[in-house]
Amino acid sequence: MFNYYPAPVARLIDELMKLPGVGPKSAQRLAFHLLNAPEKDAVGLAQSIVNARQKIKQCSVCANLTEQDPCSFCQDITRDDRILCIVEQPRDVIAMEKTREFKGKYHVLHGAISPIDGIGPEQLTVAQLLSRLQGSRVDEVVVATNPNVEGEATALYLARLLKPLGIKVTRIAHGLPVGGDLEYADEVTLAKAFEGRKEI
Amino acid sequence: MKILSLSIKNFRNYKQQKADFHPEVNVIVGYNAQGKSNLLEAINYLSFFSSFRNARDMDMVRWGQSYFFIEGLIKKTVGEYHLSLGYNVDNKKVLKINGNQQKKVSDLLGVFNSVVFSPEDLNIVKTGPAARRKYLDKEMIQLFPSYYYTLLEYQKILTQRNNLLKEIRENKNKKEMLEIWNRQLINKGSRIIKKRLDVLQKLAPLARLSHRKITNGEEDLDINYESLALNQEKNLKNCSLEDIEAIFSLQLEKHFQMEIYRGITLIGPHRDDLKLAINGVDVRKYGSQGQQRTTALSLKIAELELVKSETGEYPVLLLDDVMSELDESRRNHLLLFIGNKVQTFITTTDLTFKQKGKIFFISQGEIKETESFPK
Ligand SMILES: Nc1ncnc2c1ncn2[C@@H]1O[C@H](COP(=O)(O)OP(=O)(O)OP(=O)(O)O)[C@@H](O)[C@H]1O
Ligand SMILES: [Mg+2]
Ligand SMILES: [Zn+2]
Repeated sequence: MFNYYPAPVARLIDELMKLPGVGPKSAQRLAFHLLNAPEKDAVGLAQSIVNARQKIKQCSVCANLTEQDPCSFCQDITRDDRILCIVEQPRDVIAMEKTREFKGKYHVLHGAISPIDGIGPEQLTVAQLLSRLQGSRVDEVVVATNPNVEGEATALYLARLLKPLGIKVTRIAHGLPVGGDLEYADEVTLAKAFEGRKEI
Repeated sequence: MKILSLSIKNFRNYKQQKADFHPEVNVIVGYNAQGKSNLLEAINYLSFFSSFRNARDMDMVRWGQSYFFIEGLIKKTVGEYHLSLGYNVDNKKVLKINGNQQKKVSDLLGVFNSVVFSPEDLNIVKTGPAARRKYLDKEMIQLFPSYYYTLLEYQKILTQRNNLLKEIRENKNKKEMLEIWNRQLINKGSRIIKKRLDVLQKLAPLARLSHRKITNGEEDLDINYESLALNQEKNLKNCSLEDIEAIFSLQLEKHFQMEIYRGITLIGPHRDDLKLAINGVDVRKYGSQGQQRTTALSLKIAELELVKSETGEYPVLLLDDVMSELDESRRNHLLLFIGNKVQTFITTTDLTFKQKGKIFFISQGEIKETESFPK
């Protein structure tokens, strides 16, 4: 497609186009921005990508992204280990933290159940969740998956899975914008949603 | 409600045009393929932010261009609104009211109400249930923007559930996984059915009244909601949301094996229909061509009356090629109804019927106001 560019430039554009939300036009713009920028900036970016990739892994307990394993949330003994908040993505942990409402522990699913995308419980960190719950003190699980049809289906699935284990399963209330992502919910609505959580 | 003026840029075959409309009748005349329907499409776009001809947004961008822009000045009894919409093939749509950008389509739905009447609508009585559902849903979206979201969500649930059903059929997934979708299907589906029933309770008497007038009191039109999910419960009108959910759920259980066998969702508002009967006889199957057309006309007039009774104002009526399809008596009846109360746009290739108001001659994407059809 971009074979009229020198091979290294074409490759850079191709790689950038793999990023979410980046189309051919933006990819070209970004590529030329990087080529025109001072060399140390471009090298800095490249190194920080490599660095982050090599140092960051999934926490073996909660599956959040972390530098040390277990992550700081899992190691923090001041956090309540009887309540667990389940979210879809690492960025949702940050959104939840900003509300300062939640003082328990987290579990990151890395997605939601979606048959059309071929995502079922096996593709998520559900097995890891079950094994960490075994013999744990957790008595309430708050499901904070996104308020869209996939997030809702995932919440129902988790409720059916966890309730027989004697765990109370709640869902954050839907003060959230319809079809909206947790990430975009502002802190006040998210805090309210958390307060008004209901058992499912 | 009136649209006083319209500016369009790079929309279909229009490069850049502006027109000031007559508050009552606007006749859009021109030879075939000049842009008459495109003009109505642009006006109606300001109501639904989608094409009434089901075209994709990108297909409405003038060939070789990357964006289109539509702006209308809307006059309601409560004031005037500048409604504008920009669509760029790279980005999302930008919607503005009086220069203020709106985040969601639902904030703009219902600001400007317009109703299209095309030859296709004349066939809704004799064609399949999909056309009749679409008729009802379109009407409801204008009146209740939140209904639009419920429909969208229902559609997503349906897509996911159908996919799952196929996987179960092919032993690629477990039957138990259906339940997490069933609950949502029943929840949203029942809301849709309930809302449709409520609206139909208002719409049906309006259509009946119109039908009586057109037929000089000889024909009584009955409209009823036909629902597989409800298994033809007798007393639909008194059904609460909880009742509907309960029956829906039972029906879903009953069709469980069949759904897996077929690999699609068989129960729900996406399969429902409107039963139309004249003097007790199903017009969909047994009506004469004339009865079917009168029924379609009555449904359309009822649609306008319902918008009026819900919002206090008649919507703008867009008649695309429909005049030539109606016989003289039905045409006269429609014109009588329109009177001077409904702002109307009429596309036609000839000016056989004399009308007050303005005439616009359309030629290759140019709009010219004119006194008569230039030869
Ligand atoms: N995206 C587009 N860019 C440019 N031209 C387009 C585009 N889409 C459609 N057209 C042109 O618009 C014309 C059709 O316009 P329209 O449907 O409004 O015709 P019309 O005047 O209603 O004709 P008729 O009397 O046959 O219904 C066609 O010539 C078509 O090629
Ligand atoms: Mg046309
Ligand atoms: Zn952790």
